[in-house]
Parts: sequence; structure tokens; C-alpha cells
Amino acid sequence: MKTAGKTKKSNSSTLPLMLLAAPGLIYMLINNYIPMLGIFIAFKEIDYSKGIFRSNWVGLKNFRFLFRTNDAFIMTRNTILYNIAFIILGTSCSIFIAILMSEISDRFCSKIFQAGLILPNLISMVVVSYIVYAFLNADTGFLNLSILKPLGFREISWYSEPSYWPYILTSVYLWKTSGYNSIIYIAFIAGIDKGIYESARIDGAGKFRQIFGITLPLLKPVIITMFLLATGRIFNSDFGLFYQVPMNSGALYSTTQTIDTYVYRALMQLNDIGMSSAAGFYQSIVGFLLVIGANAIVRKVDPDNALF
Amino acid sequence: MRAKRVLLFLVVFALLFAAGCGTKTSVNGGSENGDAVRNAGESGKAKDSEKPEKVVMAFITFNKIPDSMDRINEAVSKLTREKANVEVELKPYGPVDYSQRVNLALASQEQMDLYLPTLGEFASYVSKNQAYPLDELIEKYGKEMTEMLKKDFGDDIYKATTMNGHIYAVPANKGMAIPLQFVYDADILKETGFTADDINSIEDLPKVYDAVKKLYPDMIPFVPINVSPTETNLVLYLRCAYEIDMLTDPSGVGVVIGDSGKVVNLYETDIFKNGVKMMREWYLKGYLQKDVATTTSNFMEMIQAGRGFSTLGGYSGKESGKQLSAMANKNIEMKRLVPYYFDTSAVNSVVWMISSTSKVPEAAMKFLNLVYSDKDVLNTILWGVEGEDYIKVDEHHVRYPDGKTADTVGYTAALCSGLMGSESLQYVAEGVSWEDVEFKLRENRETKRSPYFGFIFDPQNVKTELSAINNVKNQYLPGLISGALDPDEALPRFINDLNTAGAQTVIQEKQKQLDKWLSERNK
Amino acid sequence: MRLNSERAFRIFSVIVLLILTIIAFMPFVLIFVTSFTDETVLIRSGYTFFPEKLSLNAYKYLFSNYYTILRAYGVSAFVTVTGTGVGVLITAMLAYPMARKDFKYRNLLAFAAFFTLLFNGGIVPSYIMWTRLFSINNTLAALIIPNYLMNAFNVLLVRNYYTGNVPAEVIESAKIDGAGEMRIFFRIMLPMSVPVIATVGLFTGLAYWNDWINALYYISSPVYYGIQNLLIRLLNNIQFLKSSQAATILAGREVELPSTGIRMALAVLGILPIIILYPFLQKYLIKGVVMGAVKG
Repeated sequence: MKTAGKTKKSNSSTLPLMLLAAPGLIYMLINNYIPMLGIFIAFKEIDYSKGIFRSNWVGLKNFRFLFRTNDAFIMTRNTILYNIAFIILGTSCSIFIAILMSEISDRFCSKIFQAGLILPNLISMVVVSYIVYAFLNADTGFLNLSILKPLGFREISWYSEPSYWPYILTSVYLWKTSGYNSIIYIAFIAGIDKGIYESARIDGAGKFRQIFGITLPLLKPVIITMFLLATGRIFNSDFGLFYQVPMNSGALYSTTQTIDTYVYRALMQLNDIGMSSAAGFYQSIVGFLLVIGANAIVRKVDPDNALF
Repeated sequence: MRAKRVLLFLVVFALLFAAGCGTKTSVNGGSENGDAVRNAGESGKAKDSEKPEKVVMAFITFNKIPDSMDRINEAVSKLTREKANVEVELKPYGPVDYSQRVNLALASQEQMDLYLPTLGEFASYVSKNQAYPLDELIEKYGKEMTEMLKKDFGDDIYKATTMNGHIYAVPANKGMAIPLQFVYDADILKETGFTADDINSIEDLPKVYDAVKKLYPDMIPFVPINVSPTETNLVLYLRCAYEIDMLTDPSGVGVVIGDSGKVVNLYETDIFKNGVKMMREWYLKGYLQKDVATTTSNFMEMIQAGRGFSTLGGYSGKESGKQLSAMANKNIEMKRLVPYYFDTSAVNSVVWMISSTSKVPEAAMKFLNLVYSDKDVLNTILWGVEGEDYIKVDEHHVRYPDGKTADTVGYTAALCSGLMGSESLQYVAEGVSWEDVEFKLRENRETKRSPYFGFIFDPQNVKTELSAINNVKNQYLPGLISGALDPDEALPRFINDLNTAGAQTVIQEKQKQLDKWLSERNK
Repeated sequence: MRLNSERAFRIFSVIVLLILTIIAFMPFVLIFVTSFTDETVLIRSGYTFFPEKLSLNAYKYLFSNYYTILRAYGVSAFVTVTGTGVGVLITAMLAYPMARKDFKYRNLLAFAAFFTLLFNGGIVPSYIMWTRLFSINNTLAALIIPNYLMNAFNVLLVRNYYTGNVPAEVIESAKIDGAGEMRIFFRIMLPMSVPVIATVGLFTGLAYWNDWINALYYISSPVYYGIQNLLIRLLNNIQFLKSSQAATILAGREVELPSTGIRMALAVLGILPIIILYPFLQKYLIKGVVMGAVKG
């Protein structure tokens, strides 16, 4: 026995289990790990006549553009804050929706609601940006024309005022993703043995007691998993959401610029493979370190639910 | 026990990787197609004993891409085999993926011998060594092409694509002067009582706009020509009116005015300040729409919907008004406001390069030579096969076969005519004036060149600064050039942010390179 | 015995979900209506639920090429069905060993899977590998194999479900009865995890249907364009033709300029099949949810 609490023995099921895992592993190796070696491009200055393998190594030169800018602080702050808001609000909304959905037994209603769950996610961000524009544009926007003006309020030039956008973008994000993500929680709730609810009911537990005493605790593993996975992507952002929806408006940069949009804008004309690879690497490394840390904490507190 | 398994895993992994590498190098080493017996020294005569070399040419197309290019490849190859012992494979890509595909092909060492670099990025491609030096090849195999270029543009044509002493690309041979024109709805102008003769400079426009606003309070007198991001062509106007050389860098940080020889930040000059102040006045007077900085409707859409009156645009020749009119179903006319000014980037935006990793550069040049000088080869690429894809109307004009349009015909790349070959050899669509083509080419010779024509800036040393500068530029410029931002408040901030991003470093670097170029030229 | 709090909650759920569903549907209705709105009205008064003038022009333009569109639907359908089928299977197959507490490598595999979610080499190395090593460019395989067949997120999701919702005793008793791992997987694990399998199937299916990037990099012949790729190309063509770069190249040459209405029609065409098919697919999703609930 190696470590206490872990029963790891090499037994007869190891081989067949490995066989089951094999196709997935091979795919992961080919699709993810071999190309991952290409990360070295982030440390090279690509000279096309030499090809990527023989170009010069330039250390951290390609990373400079991420830091030598006023925007470095803004873009990092925005990315992190939005992600934190998204994780907390998004998860709460999704769970809320999932619990509600589990109440619906009428088939027809259930179908309609389920369609509503995935529909927003099917609409691409470009089209979403047109819809938002239809609402918010200064000339013919629905909000200005049909709501603010009649009520006597001053019209707002939405695309020039950065302060509103954290709310706007968060709302758009929730609209687009909370239904879609709730499906995960619906599936897990469906897997809960209904007998537990029965006995709770017999013991006199009301609905709230049932939710907070049974449903949520049983969802804990998946919630923690989702949380840990989201932590790893804390330096990433949905490009469509932060570039298209604000209509690429310069006035809004202070609250809509994220690392991804900055990299895109900076490299649009330079077209430098090394620099874009460096940006991706930077995002990955930070996320990775954070997850390792978060996972270690989870492992101390609740070992069964750690990611690995 | 466990360590062994991990080790095994790693070894397998490493083997696979090595295998991958091995395959790549073997592909690098060998020749892709057509075991080439090099036609050293021969320019154009086909020998029975030698197998034709294959050239791959990529280009961007705005027409529909056919399911298979085999038919056209064969049609073109038939001609090129005869004339230069070369076979051709054409690879058209749409605008959405053209840049990516070319860059990926070059990075992965796929065969891509001839291609257009992303518009306006000539210098960047050269400094990344994506281009093959062409001096010798042009000498040996490009004689006819050079003749055409000199005839249609001038003897200084290759200056625009010479960097560090070598020619790296061949410019498209077409009318390149796109002077700034006042583009307007002629019917509405008539109603205001003004005529085109009353409009001779940009200062004449406000009074026309006032008249339009009186007649049609809901109409927007001045609409940006392009959107996302908004472009009003203020900078184009300033460039031509004040003879500003952008030094092949669209960021605008580091330009030279006239022949002063001094590199300055365009955005700090009085010229620019007065320009944006004027736009701000226009904006406040209501000549532009309130959401001009973020609107998604450009001039063509607005005028079609009857909501827009005019814009400023750069168009060559005299017939563009007619073409826009056909598109918009309105009576659109143009009046030239300022003559055009050739700086290097005006001429090296649309150029052809041979890939630095090409295995058949001689064959590629031979083919390119044909594209520029051979009517049949060029028009087969553009229009397809006569009879099937187009019908000849007269010496210069063609049309689509009965019942077919550009979308339904088997193959057409008619919209690419501005990209390749010599305009003087291209067929044009029925109804387009041939005299206009000749006029445009004449203008090439007559347009003033900047004293620094031929200087190309190498951005490699200031990549970091340029990336930050581009970011700042995207933030402020659309708002400033459309008058949506108040220049008194925004312009100082803009300049400040540019300086923080490293504008002075870029300017110094440009001055250094410019001085070096000047001293070498004057030797 | 139905408690009062339960009834109240049920009513509350229906009301809230109804509101949320309306919010979810509304933008789509707007898109749908806009695609039938006359272009000049659109530019003049913006988007509205009650347009002054209707027009079929956007759809006429798109359907002048109906063969291309139908073919693209076919490609997307084939790719989605095949990819989802195979992908879900290998995802579950990888997740099961990771869920077994007595499996030696479970943590190693979990880490290996998770790592792929964070690090990737970018498009260049992937492109080189798929086109040089495997030569899949311009084939249907290029639409199915790269990226979407299996991803670690789904694997970890399924693993979680296995560990949380399939009691170890079930597996134990099966082994005592002499069942091999393969049998356990196919006869026990899969049937017991229908909700999560359905979920992963849905996610994978939607990912395939919505993908336009694989075709962008690996396909050069329009024969293999999927519907989303086709729509993005059309959209981009429109945008590029309106840009200033195009102005210098085209120099005023005649070009058909489709419009806002067309953008919306494109969106509708991409989404509609899913909306239509979803009720039929839902049968399985609901069945799974119900089945999972009535578990013995």
C-alpha cells in the first residue's frame, strides 16, 4: 500500500480499462499533445525562408508587447473581473434554471422551455451584436427611441459611455450561456435518486429544505469541477462578446478591452505568428498555475472532488 | 514499476514526434511535383525532352469559387506549356480566409510559389523573409513584364518594391491613382441649386450641406464611405492636399510632409488638428449622423435607402460614378477635389511575390511574365474559357453567356482584375468604357511622386511599439476623423497615449532608416 | 403527499421559466422578422418587430443558389451525426476508467486530459500536422476529426457523473458475477448514464453543427463547405466588399451588395434546422432524464 486512503493496485482490470481508454488517449495525443509542442514558436522569431524549425530563438522578446503598454493593466483587470463575475453569476443562474426545470413534468412545457435554453447559444455573437445595436444605437435604437425619450429621459449615447458596459456585457453573457450550461446541472439532478426526496418529504422537509439539503449538496462535485475548469481559463475571454458586441468602439476600451481583444488589435497588421503564440502561452501558463493552486486547496478541503 | 510505464509512454511519444519531424524534413528536402529538369537560361522555348515544371499560384477572389479548378487549370496550363514549358495550378481563396491560408501554407512549407501578400503589408512580408529576391529572375525571364510595367506606369515602377537593394515583388499593373472625389447624389444636388462647378475644394462643401439639410431635414449630408471601423477619408484628403508621405506605415506615426525630410507624427501636426476640427464642426452642425463612429451602414447602403447624400472617396478614372449608380440605383456623380500623390505605399499595396521557399522560382517568374504580358493567359485566369464562361463582344469587351451571371457561370474571377496582370490587356465587361482604362493608365505617369518614393520602412525593430500604437489608433481615430470626439479634449489624450505606446521610438527609427536611404541614394 | 411549499414552488417555476423563455426567444423572433423586412425600411428606421414593409429579397438572393445551400446542409448533417456518434462513444470510454477508484492511472489520465484544456500550440502546428502528416486537407475527415471529436471538458463531465451517480456496488456485484470490463461498460455504465451522455451528445452535436473554422483552414473546394462555413463566407464577402481595401481593388466595379436583411436571413438559415429538429431530439433527452429518475 503506497498512500493511505488510496487503494491502487495493479489488477486484472487494468488492461481492459486501458483498452477502453485507448481510443480517447490516442486522439488526445494526436489532436492535442503533438501540436502542443508547437508552443516553442512563442520563443522564436519566425523567418519563413528558414521555416519554423530553423528560425532563431529570441527568448521572451515576443512577450514584450503584452506588458509594455498602458493597456496591460486595464486588459488584465477587465479579463479577470469579468471572468469572476461570469463564473459566480453564470453558475448561480444555471443552477437556478436547472432546479426550476426539474420541476416541470408537463412534457409540452418542458419541450418549449428546453428549446429556449439552447436557442440563445445558437445565435452567433456577430448577430447578437446587431441585436444589441438595434437596442442601443443613438439614432434609431429601441431603448433611446421607444423608452427613454417617451419617458422624458435624456437619450444616452451608449456606445460612447464605458460605464454601462460591464452590465450590458454581463447581461448578454448570461442570456447567451446560462441556459446552455444549465443543461449540465439538469442532467446531474436527473441522476439523483428520487427516493431521497421521498424520505425527506415524509420527514416533513419543505421545498427549500429539499433544495438546500439534498439537491445542492449532491451537485457539489460538478459545481467544483466546473469552477476549477473555469479558473484555468481566467485569462481567456469570448472574443465575439468583447469585440463584436461593443461594435469595436474605441471609446469603450476602458471597460471592454480584454487580453484577447488587445492581442487581436495589436497584431492585426503585424501578422506575427511568434507574438500571437506568445500571447496564447501567457494566458495558458497563468491559468494553469491558478488551477494547480485552486486544485491543491480543494484537495485539502474536500479530496474526493479535486480535479486530479 | 510505475516509472517504467511512464518512461515507455514518453518513449513512444518521442518516437511519434520524431517520426513527424522526419516526415517533414523529407518533404522539405524533396521536390513536390514534376521532377524538374531545370530550364536554365532558356526563356520560353519548350523542349520536347524536358517535363514542364509546376507552379502554384494563390490569389484572392471575390467571385464564387468553383467546386473544382481542374478545368481552368488545364486551360491555363495548355497555354503556358506551349509558351514557357510551365504548368499551373491556381488556388483561389475568398477574402475571409485568404491571408490565413497563404500564411499557413508558407509556414508549413506547402507549395505556394506565387501569391499576393496581405494588402499593404509588403514590408512586413519582406522582413519575415517570405519573399524571394527577384532581381535576377526579372532580368532573365521577366522582360516582357517589365516592358508592360514601364509602359503603363513609368520607369520607376520597381522602386516601390525594392527593399535593402533587392526587388521583392511586382506591383499590379493598373491605374493606381485614386484621387479624392466628392461622391454625391446628383439629383439632390440639382435641387439645392448648386452645380458641380461650385464645388472645387473641401471648403465648398458646408454650404452645399446646409442647403441639403434645409431641403431634407432627415437626410444625412455626409456619410462615411466605410464602416467597422468608420472611415471618412479625412486622412486621405490631408495626404493628397498637403503631400504627405506615409512612409509605408499606415499607423500614421511617422510621416514626412512635402520634401522636408523630417519625420513627424501626423497626429501632432497642425494639418491634422485643423482637419479634425473641421470634422468636428461638421459633426456639430449635423452633417454627419450622431452614431457615425459605430454605425454599420456605409455610404452605399445609406444612399440606396435614400438616407445619405454624399461621401468622400478615392476612385480612379472617370467612370466610377456610373458604376456606383448602377449598384445603388441612384444618379451618382463624382467631382475631383484634390489630385493624387504617389507615395510608396500607394503603389506597393497590391503586389505579387514569389515565396522564399519556392522550389521553382524560375518557372514562377516565367509564368508571372506571361500573366503580365500575354493577353490569352491573363484573360483565361480572369474570365475563364471563351465560349463557356464568357463571350467576346469586341476587342476589349466581353459578357457572360446568355442566361448566366457572375454567380451562375462555370468560372469567373472578373472581380480580381484589379489584382493581377496588366490592366491594358484585360477584357472588361460590356458597358465599361475602354477609354477610361487608358485614361487611368495615363494618370499613372502624370501623378506626382513623393521625393521619397521608393523608401520602404522595415518595422522589425519596433514591432512591440507598433502593436501598442495600432491599439491606440483603433481607439481614437474613428471618433476623431468623424468628428464624434471633441478634438480639444481627445486629441491631446490621443497624442499622449501614442507617446506612451512608443511613438517617439518609431519616429526615430524611421528617421534613421530614411536618412540612410537618402544618403545611399545620393551617392 | 404534495406539500404546499412544493405546489407554490412549482407555480413559481413555471412563471419564471416562462419569462426566461420569452427573453430567450425574443431576439430570435426579431432576427426572423428582420430577415423578411424590406431593406430601405431597415436602414431608415432600424430593426423592429412590426416592419412597415415586408420583402423576400434576402431569401431570394440566398436561394438563387439553392443547390449550394442544400449541399451545405447535407455536409453539416453528415459531419454532425458521424462526429457526435463516434465522439460521444470515445469520450465515455475514456471517462469510465478515470472514474474507477481502483484504476491505477486515474489521476494521471485526469491530469493529462485537463492539461489539454489549458495549453495549445495554436493553429500553425495543428495545421502542419494535419496537412503534412495526415494529409486530410480537402476531405470530409478534416471536418470531423480535428478539435471536436473529443474534448477534455466533456470527458471530465462524464467522469464526474460516473463517480457521483453510479454506485460502486453495482460495479462490484457485476464483477462478482464474472462480468469483464467491456461488458460492464456497455451493459451497465452507458445505460445508467443516459442523462450525461445525452448532454455530451447535445454539446458535441451543436459544436459540430456550428463549426466553421475547420473548413476555413482545411477545405479549399466548396463541395465540402458546411452550412455555417458557407454562411460566414457569404457574410464576410459582403463585409469585405464594402471595406476600403476593396474600394481600391475593385475601383468601382459592379458588385452585388446584399444587405442587412441578408445577414439576418443567413442567421436564420443556420439556426432553423436545429429549431425544427430539436423537438424530435428532445424525445431522447427527456427519455433519458425520466429514465435516470426512475432508477432502481
